[in-house]
Amino acid sequence: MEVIAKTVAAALAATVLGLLIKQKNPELAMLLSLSTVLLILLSTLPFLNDFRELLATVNQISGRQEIYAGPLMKCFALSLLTKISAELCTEASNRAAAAAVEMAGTLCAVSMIIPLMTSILKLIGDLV
Amino acid sequence: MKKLLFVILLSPLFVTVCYADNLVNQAAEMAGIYEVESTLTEDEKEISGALALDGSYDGEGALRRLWRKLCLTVEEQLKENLTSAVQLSAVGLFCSLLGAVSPDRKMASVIEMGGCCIITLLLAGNMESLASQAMETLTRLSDYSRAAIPAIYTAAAFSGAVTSASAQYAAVCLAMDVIMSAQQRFVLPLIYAFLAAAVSRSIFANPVLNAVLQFFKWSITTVLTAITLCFSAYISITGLVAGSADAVAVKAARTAISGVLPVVGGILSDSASTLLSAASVIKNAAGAFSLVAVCALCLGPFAALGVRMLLFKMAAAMTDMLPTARISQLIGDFAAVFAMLLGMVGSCGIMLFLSIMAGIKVMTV
Repeated sequence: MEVIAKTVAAALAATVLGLLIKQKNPELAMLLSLSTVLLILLSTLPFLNDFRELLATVNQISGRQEIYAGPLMKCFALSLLTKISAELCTEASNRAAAAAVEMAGTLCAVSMIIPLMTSILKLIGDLV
Repeated sequence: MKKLLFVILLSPLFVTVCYADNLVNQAAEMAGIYEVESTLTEDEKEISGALALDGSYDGEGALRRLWRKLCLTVEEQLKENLTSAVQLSAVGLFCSLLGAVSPDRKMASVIEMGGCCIITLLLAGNMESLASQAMETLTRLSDYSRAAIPAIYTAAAFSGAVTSASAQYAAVCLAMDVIMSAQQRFVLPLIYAFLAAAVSRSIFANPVLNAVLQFFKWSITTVLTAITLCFSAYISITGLVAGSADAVAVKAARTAISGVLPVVGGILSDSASTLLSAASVIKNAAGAFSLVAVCALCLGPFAALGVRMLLFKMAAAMTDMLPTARISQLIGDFAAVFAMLLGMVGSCGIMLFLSIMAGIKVMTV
């Protein structure tokens, strides 16, 4: 609860400051946004431990290792990175870059699960 | 007086074995009745018990052993497969959590796709082994039908039902052969096609694949139901048509024998009836034994497929509560595949059951 309160406070403060300095110095406002995003992400890192524990439990139950859960975690990390980068680019009025980042992120995510899909297609081929 | 005493004292020397007892075994061997027992494996013989042709077959004991074996097999299968069901639910939960916290909807869809691939790979090995177990059971049922059905219908012919036994035997053999090869060559490939379409739909959500899947499911269910219904109707009609002719023939023969031979005609006629009744006892004993044997044959696959079907339906219901519709649908489709395999094995078992029942119910004197 404390973490989310600090996060909200930091985000609101950065937004107000950004609005103030954007008209005079848009580059500085952009850097302020980027540093706020990095600060907020760093503060949520402890929550990732819970996900890591959940992943370890799933691996233990499923008896299969990172071969299966690894690609999904990478997809998740990619989605975070892609979304934040695209929004930062949009904020800087660079929609073309934002669209390109989104597309690149989707392609990377799909390529993570291509080995799984190849195995599935071989299985379907054997069945049929 | 002395002569009478002498005769009484020497009379035990002339006591001899009654050969009618051996005749029953000889008749049973000629009819191939003992094949009904020898074709079974040791486990199946343990459940069915010993074949007794004198009407003393312990049916109740056999049913009790069957029930005990079923409970043990179900318990074993539950212990083996509960882990699979929990694995599937864990993967579904993990994917839904990742999808829920993922900021981008497209990425959430990719994560769900990945989850479906993982589930398919986890279940693929399971599926292969069960399909081969189902095929092996069909082969065993087919081999057992080749041993049991000729034996029972031969004994039925010995018991006086010559016309109906031969007509029903021909009908049963033809129908069983056609149906079992239709199941292996038509139904099983349809089941595999259903599975392939289900996996494809989970990865590439598509309304056309939905329609294809529904069509495959409907086809398999309809074919299995139609096969079983047509078989039962065919056997019943064949039995009805041919049965009455035998009753008339046997009555006419009895009347002719009693009437033609002046003194011993009645005795001969009664002896003939006794022989026919003895053949009927052999037929009924072999039939009862075969019914239990068919249940013992189907027990293992039924337990394996039934338990997996129920566990996967439970896993599908649990993952249905999560926002991962495709994963829950895929697990439900795998449960449907196990249900279809169970239906396939069950319909062959039922047809063999009905054939044996028809043989037992053939007109007796």
